Amino acid sequence: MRPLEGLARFLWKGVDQGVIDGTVNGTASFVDVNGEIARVTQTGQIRHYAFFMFLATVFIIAFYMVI
Amino acid sequence: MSEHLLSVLIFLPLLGAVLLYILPFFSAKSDGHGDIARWFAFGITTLTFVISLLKLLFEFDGTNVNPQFIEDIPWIAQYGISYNLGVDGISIYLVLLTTFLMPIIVLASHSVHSRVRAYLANMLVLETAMLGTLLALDVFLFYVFWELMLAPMYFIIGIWGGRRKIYATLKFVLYTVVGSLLMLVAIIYVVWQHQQQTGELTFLLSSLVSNTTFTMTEELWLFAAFALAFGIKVPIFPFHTWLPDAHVEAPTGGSVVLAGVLLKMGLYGFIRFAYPLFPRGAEEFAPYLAALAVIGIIYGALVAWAQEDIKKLVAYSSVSHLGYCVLGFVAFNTISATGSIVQMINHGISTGALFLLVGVLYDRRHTRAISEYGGLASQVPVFAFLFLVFTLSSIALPLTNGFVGEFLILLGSFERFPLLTLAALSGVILGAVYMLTLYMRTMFGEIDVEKNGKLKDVNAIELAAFAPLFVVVFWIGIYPKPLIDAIEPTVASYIEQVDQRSQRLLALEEQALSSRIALSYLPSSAAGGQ
Repeated sequence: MRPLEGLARFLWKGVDQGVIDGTVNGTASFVDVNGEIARVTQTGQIRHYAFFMFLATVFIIAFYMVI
Repeated sequence: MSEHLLSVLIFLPLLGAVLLYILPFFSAKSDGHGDIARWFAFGITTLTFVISLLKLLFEFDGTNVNPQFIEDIPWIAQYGISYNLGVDGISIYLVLLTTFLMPIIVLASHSVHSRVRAYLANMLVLETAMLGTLLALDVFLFYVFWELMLAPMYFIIGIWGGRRKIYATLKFVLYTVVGSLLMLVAIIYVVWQHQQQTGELTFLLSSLVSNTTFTMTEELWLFAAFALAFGIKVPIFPFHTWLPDAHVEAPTGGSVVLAGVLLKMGLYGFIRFAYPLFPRGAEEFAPYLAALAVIGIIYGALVAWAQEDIKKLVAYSSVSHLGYCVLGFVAFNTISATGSIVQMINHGISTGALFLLVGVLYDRRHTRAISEYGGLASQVPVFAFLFLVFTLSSIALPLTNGFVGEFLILLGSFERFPLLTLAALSGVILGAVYMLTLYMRTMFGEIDVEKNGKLKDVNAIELAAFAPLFVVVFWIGIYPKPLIDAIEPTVASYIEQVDQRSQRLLALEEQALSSRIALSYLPSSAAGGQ
């Protein structure tokens, strides 16, 4: 009986919560982490946004000049 | 009324939900405790049930294997979407199960104290969505109702739920939606293929089934997409982990509807859509699905045994029990498939009752820990008796409903998957182990927690909720004939049709292959053109 109880507990904590839920919650935290990284770009300062727009414009023009 | 019976059934609860908000009787001022709203909702759900019972049971032709009470109104004609409803032997008892459980769930809402009107409105909208899912025969319409089921459930768990309600409800919704989105892609592909092949743009299931042909590869992928969406809902291991959290954190009525009806939608989706559309894909995946089902049975049972939270234990028992239904259906012969549908109904009844029982305890003591209970049998004898009956029903004791379904499933599955069925039998024993252990630990022995000494037994409303379930347990257990008679002919004809389509697709594909091979032997000027 005891080993079967131990197996039951392992299946619950180890597999169900550990592996499967770990994958599920891991996907969720992957999204979370990416969000945190992307958050860095949201400074709220227009000058930063203007700068990036300028950079992007330079890139696009350069791209079309090269291609 | 007969021509629009199904529409009435589907939209009556929705009308009730709207009325709850329009009419002034139910506002917070005139109906503080929500009692009037409760009576109203009870009336609506009972009316829906009575309509479904009288009309469907007495006007439904058990020998007719085709969908009945058909309604067919073009809806978005430019895209071939129509409002097409119908009920047959496979869906009729699921519809009845739904309408039967809803009044009971409304009765169980006495434990909800805040925003009762909103809770009941959500339940009514949910009923509309569930009935629509079961009755829709147009793939688009089905998908709309399928997704619609999630919204009220999201609110029910998220607002009236337990400690981790937000986590549980988000997990439930996102998990289910991921699968559904994949299914949407598959649906669009099927409809597009149908249009390529016949020139007709339609979402009607009957047209798609009769006139679309797929290659084996297509079938495998498409079936896999559908199987994922439905497999998450059933749930099939390993896509079951949303279930313990959703069930535990949901309010009592939410758990009952989740276990009683929503889980069945997954398997129903397999039966109504995945198998008829992609029979060869289904055939290929059958052994794997059966294996996963049996793994679910044993795994669910073992993990249930390890639980210390009663509600979580019952939740895992659901995983285990639905495993039998999946095994029975995937074995795909008349006996096992009929047993699968019967067992779906049974599970709705027994597990619904078990969640109600847990709810009774939780209302009194606000704890679900097994260690907090013990020796209750002497203190709350009526409760103990009901708990025993539904435990035995869950274990599938002969004379209870559970036995009928399980017996048919195991008998039929043994023919196709002997080894897996033997493994599933061990699940029966494990089921008895964890349920009876639970009963023993909570009901027998001495009362060692002081508060339990003052527990009150079931009151009249709770008893009223249990009574119909109690009757059904023994009715199906002792006299299952009417149930089986309504289901079996349709199942037999269904299996035959799916097999026929499977053979036709195989023949068509072989024809296509051989004509291609024949063409390649011709001199290149004839085959390749200029």
